[in-house]
Amino acid sequence: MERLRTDFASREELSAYIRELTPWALGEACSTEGGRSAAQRALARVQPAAYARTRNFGDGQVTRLSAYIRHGVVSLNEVRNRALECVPRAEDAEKLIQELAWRDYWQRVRAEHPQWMWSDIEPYKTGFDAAEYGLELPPDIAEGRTGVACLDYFIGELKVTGYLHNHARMYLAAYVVHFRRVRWQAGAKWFLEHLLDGDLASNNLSWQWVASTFSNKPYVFNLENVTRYFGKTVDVRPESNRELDASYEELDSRLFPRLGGMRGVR
Amino acid sequence: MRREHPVFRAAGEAERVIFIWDDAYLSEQGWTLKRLVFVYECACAMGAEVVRGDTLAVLKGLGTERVYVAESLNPFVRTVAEGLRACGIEVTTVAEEPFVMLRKGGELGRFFRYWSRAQRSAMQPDAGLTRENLFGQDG
Repeated sequence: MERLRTDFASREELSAYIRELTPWALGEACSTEGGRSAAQRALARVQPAAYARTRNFGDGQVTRLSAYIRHGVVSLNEVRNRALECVPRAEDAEKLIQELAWRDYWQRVRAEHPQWMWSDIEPYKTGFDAAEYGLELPPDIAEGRTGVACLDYFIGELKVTGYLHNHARMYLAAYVVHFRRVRWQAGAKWFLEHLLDGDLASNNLSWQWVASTFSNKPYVFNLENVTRYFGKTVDVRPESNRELDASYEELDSRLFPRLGGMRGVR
Repeated sequence: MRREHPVFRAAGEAERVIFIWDDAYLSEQGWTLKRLVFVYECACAMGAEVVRGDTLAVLKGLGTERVYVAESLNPFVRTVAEGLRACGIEVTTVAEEPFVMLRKGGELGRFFRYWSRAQRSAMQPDAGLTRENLFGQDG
């Protein structure tokens, strides 16, 4: 039994130590600090009302607590209690609490149906069979050189920071599954490798939701949507994002030709 | 991975806090370095002894009669607990603080069905529970 070091003069020293311990691990350390104190600082910054107003935007007031919640450094109960403490009326914290509830919900789904984590819960509702989807993540996606500027930016963020805004996760998932017709499992595995908050239930069931194997229709997005939520921070010029620069009607007929434009009403 | 988790309350003062760095398990997860560093930093920050080795072998090697484990959906944790019990080591699994108490209602279904059963409890501090109930009867 080998006892490992726990005292480090700096994060750089700790990172170098872990690199030596795990020569098989890819990539570099990131700036998100582990531990209870760091989690408590993030908890103190929670602003439920601003969260409700701005959370869908790339520069919105999201909590960045997900990695701490995933690893049990703070509990959902603690975050909820903190959210209720800092609003005059409980309703002002409802949006944030509902998002916390999503995590609780995914965990309960996993507890009830552990076999759903890596298998299609329902067939794809895209007009294609599962067998028509690729099994492996294409290298240009893994490396962030798809040629679609906003997606390459998000992939870079994922790899460097281990974090992605929820909308960016949905965009990448929809791109992998519907634009590139790759099975959701390949993308889910890729996210779990990189995301500090990567959780089997939240991650894989969300991928299934986008894929339509755990929802009534596939989720897709276009450049207009990215521009609305990330226009201030990401390159959303049409000439840099041609593949996404289309109306939903055009995308439906391009991506789901067998559905005859009947993907569902958005 | 926090000292405020109910598992520490259940274990009492005499506990020895151990985080096991299991190379085989970790490499199987395929995690990148940034995630491994984050997790290791969390373990150090909670004042755990970090021990390298096969999880079951490390726990057996401690020579203890009882192990407290935070409840997890991870089947690996269940397998280890079974392995310990097979060697006569008592394993106590302690649940996380509850986030909601669901109203009765059968199958979970899609999210908004769950939310209709969860909302009332979710919108109250400590899910509307007393501190005693929050931490369970063993707390």
